Amino acid sequence: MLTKYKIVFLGDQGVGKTSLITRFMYDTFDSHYAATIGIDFLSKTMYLDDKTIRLQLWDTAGQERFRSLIPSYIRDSNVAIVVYDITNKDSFNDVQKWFDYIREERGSDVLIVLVGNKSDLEDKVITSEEGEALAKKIGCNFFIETSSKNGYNVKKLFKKIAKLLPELQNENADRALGGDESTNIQTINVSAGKPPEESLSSCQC
Amino acid sequence: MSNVKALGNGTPNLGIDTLVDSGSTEPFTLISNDISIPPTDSSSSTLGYTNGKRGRRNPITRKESYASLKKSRTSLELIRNKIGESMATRSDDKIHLKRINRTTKNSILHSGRDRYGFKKANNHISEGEYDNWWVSYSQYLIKRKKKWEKMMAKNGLPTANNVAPTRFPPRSESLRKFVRKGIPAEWRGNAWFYFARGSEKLRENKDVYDRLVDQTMDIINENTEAIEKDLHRTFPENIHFKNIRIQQANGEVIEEESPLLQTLRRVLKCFSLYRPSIGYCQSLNFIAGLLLIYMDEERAFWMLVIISERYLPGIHDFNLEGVNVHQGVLLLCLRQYLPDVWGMIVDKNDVRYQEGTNAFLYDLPALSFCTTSWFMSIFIGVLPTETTLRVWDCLFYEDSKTIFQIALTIFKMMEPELHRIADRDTNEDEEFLSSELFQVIQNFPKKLLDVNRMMEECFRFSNFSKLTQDEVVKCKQYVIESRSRYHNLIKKRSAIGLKESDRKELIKSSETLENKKIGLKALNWNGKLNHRMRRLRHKLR
Repeated sequence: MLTKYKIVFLGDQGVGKTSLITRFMYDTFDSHYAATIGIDFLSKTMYLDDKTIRLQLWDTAGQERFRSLIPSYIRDSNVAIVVYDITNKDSFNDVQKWFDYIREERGSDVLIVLVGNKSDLEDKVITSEEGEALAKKIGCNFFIETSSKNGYNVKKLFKKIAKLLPELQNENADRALGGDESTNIQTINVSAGKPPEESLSSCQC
Repeated sequence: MSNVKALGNGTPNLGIDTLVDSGSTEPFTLISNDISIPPTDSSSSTLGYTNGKRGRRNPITRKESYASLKKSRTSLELIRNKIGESMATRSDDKIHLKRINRTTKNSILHSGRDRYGFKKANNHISEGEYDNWWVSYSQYLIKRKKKWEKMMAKNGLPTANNVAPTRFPPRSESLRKFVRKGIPAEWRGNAWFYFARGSEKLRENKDVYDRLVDQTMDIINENTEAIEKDLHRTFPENIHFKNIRIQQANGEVIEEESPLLQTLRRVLKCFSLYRPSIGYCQSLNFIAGLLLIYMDEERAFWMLVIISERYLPGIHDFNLEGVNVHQGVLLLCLRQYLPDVWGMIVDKNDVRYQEGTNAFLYDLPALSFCTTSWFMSIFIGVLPTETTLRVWDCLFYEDSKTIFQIALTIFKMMEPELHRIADRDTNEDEEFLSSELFQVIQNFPKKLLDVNRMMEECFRFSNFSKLTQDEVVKCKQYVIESRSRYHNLIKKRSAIGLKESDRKELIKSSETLENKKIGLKALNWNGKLNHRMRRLRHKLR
């Protein structure tokens, strides 16, 4: 049984959404990535203890006017990662906006993670405590500081998310059994003895 | 304004050289005001700009700004000449031809970069694949250049070596064929400007650009901040857009901002002031950046204006409504010309796609959003560089229908790949299928290096090769009207108390029932909706 999860990356322009995804996917870093226009999609299989899960990562453009294009991608996502740049106060102030936006589209049926990126930089203006406090205040599932440049906490971020996911799955499974019609986790059967990648060989990554 | 002229002549008027207080204001500071930036020795950068680790800048004075303006314009000229040289082929000289032929071919084969300074290889194309293609394509380029020269001469426009013509023959079927086969790279800037009637614009707006440069020099606002964030994220892999590393006498290496980036900053800032309804929109950086490889900044600026008003109207507006309209037109085209593809990218059980309804025009299918960047950046980053440039050749000669024809061609060419996924016998749900299809639509065009094949598929072997600009305009009008009717209806509905959330709820509940297939068929649902609408309209009267 391979479970698929949809993760949407949100946050202001230039906070490092693409670089975070690139670090996670390919374990590489460039100081400059071409600005994302519209929406990009990548997917990756993750092995976790005895489980294999498939993460679908949706990378979005950060400029405010692009927000109108994103709803359909948030609508059925399991996780929303809101990213800010620890050296940019505006990007931190906008976290609330992104958060409201997710809630509006998705209600409480979604994991929300707050990420303070670029922790390798010295000119930090948002302290870890401030990040932590905001995450608590708005009700994020957890807060973490990362650096796509040196890789700090990037793996941990996705591991933590993955660890939280099966709970969601169980919850939803319970609810589905109870007759609730909205289940967000899609599962497909993988015939025994066949490695999961094979059945997903069409993937580009 | 008198100082404008001065700027144009390169002799700044002293009257406006007022010093900006460097202690308290940082005119171009990128980052939050909370951090104090230690003053840096201005001698470390003649541009009044030390890039440091991450694009942070010193306060600069207006005087320095003008100096930097002049300097960057001059250095840019040098860069452009260099690019021009690397692309020019002296095809009239038969003795040299073979040698130059070989040089053109080999200089690229032995370099990691293409003629324009972009990396040859990326995640989708290997260097080997590029070289393979280049060996024959470079021959093709030389052949085409010769034909162009002959054709120009026949039309009384003889071309001199290494001088790009500024006038081109009158429009004709034959010229269109020439353009579709590719404009010589070293003539491209002039040709685009000529076909897009740039000089008209320039004549009507004499000195306007210089005035804008002057007005925007010290300006800081939301737009300029967004521009700063994107400057280094515009073609970061292109050599001409990278910072220049300079080793100083003391051995210290400093980074100087590339003149192309400085020019790009000015063009985008001027545009944001000139077109406040657009301001700065991400993707304009790519369009302006590509233009700047081929023409000077004033012309690039006016081309950007022309593109935004004539070729891509509304696309970059603040609400991005133009993007939705263009997606709508593309959907109409797909349904008309590539019904098989249409069938794959829409969920047939969805009420929006039932025959006789055009609901997909105002409630766009999720899959259509992967084509956002196709329109917004006119295929930059979507198609390989050479392919993109050839599309632009056609675009400026043939008008915006080209964008739809190319989009259709891409869909047509990837049809087999889409089928491979859509026809797979699995129990996977629509949602999963759709993300797999998304990935194909996203990645397939990035491999379309063989631009000649793409152009043939588009203009020779397709049923949409005859698509006219008139048809596209009509489609656009239709989509705009459908969408505005719908939005007005929503407004009226909320005026009588039916909230947006109620509407969503209504649609959601119907969709759920539909998906579960426990009764309500699409037609019934439509009937129910029509009935409801009638009641609402009645109530409104």
